[in-house]
Amino acid sequence: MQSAHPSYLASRLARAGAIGVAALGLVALRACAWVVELDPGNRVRVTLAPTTWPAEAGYLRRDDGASVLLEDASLEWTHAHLVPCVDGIAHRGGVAYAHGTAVAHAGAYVESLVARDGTALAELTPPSGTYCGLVVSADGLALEGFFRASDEATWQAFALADDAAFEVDVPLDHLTLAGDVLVVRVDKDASAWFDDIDPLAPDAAAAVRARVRESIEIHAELE
Amino acid sequence: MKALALALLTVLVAPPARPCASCQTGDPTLTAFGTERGYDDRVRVAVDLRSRTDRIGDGDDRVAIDELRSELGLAWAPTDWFFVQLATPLIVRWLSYADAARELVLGVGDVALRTRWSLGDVSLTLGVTLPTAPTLVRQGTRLPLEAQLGSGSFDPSLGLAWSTSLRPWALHLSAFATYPTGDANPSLRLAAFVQYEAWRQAEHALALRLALDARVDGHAHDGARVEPDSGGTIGFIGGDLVASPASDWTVTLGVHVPVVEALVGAHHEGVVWAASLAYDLQ
Repeated sequence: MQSAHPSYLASRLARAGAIGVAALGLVALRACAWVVELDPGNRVRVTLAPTTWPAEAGYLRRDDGASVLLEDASLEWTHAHLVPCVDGIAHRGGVAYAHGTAVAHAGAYVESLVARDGTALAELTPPSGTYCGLVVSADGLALEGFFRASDEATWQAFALADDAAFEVDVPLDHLTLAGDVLVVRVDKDASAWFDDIDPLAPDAAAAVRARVRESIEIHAELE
Repeated sequence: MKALALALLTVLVAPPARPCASCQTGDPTLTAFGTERGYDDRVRVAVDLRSRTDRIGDGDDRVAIDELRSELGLAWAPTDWFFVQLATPLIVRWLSYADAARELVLGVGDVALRTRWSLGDVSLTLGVTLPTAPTLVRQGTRLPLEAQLGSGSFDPSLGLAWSTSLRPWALHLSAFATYPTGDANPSLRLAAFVQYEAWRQAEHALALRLALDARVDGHAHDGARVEPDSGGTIGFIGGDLVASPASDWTVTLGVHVPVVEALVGAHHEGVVWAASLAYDLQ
């Protein structure tokens, strides 16, 4: 009987073994895969420009002769998102998503307002479409420093903290993204942050926060 | 009637719809095993090529997939009633996302080990796919399930087929179920082929094959979350041209068009183009 012949059994065992070895070899090929980016798609790069100071960073001299010296100043940015156009107008309730990730930048970033260098805040990957606005949100303003009134010779220490959230937006004129890169720069000018504000007053934190908000300008342009 | 009854029976006794990670169609064993009865010590090598498209999602997380999938198969029959096959998919996918990003994914899919047990005109297929496809990540984030080259899990499969020949006609009915143990969606693939051998000589044959395919998918999961645009039923009608240009060689060219699409959510599949080449070493 053929099935009883040793060479017959050997050939079958060899083939079975070959298939087994091949299977193991293919399992070892597990790492053989590549992801090649053909097109990065839409990108919105939001950067924080360093704060503009009249003289040196952290120092303000008001028109009335008073001076403010900030030793530490920070603002916590919470997120940024594009506002899609709906029926030709900005749809403020709309936050676009792509790749399963919210366009809105999740994760707070604390920016030093006296730093000399700017920094990247977020890179958004919005879906293709038409957008009518861009919004950045912040909270957690904290300022520490010294204040000297115009008629005084001594500096008085102060510390302000305000955690009220606020938004700053910029309209986009039906900006269409279809594989484009939008560069967004957030500027802040500290010149008027303490004008007519006594940093030692109880409501100074909210007042300064309003000034900081007013000083923020957003510039957006396609790369 | 006998064929219809058996087809209904295979559907009724098949396990409930479960996932298929790669959304294929038809009988995956057809090229490697053939529909004919095997013979002792048969060795067949085969390559299957399939081109298909997938559109998943309709919102900002939508993805469009164009896929070219090849499956290299080695099949061996130690006896005339038992076949074992090792199938290695090589997959190329072009992915287009809502944010206009495009990616090319290229790699080895999940290797499958399949066995076929024949008893007369009826055969039983038992198999398992191994999680040989790597988990694909991009910028530190895992690509969505539909972009992965495999299910990432050990997926047992069970198939039942019936073939008969009434020359010049041949009929093949099969049901093939896969049950992923991971997040992919289970699937039940039903296939019916009616083949007419148009021309036959001693060593040359040409056949036309009418194919009806259906696939019933369960929902896929991403962890505990149910993928909204997964699962459902799709039916194809198609045809294949089967030729044997030389002894031991079989070439197949075919197209399968979706005619019934009841997939859940925003999920649309396109026409499947297929080609295969098989060679019997002995």
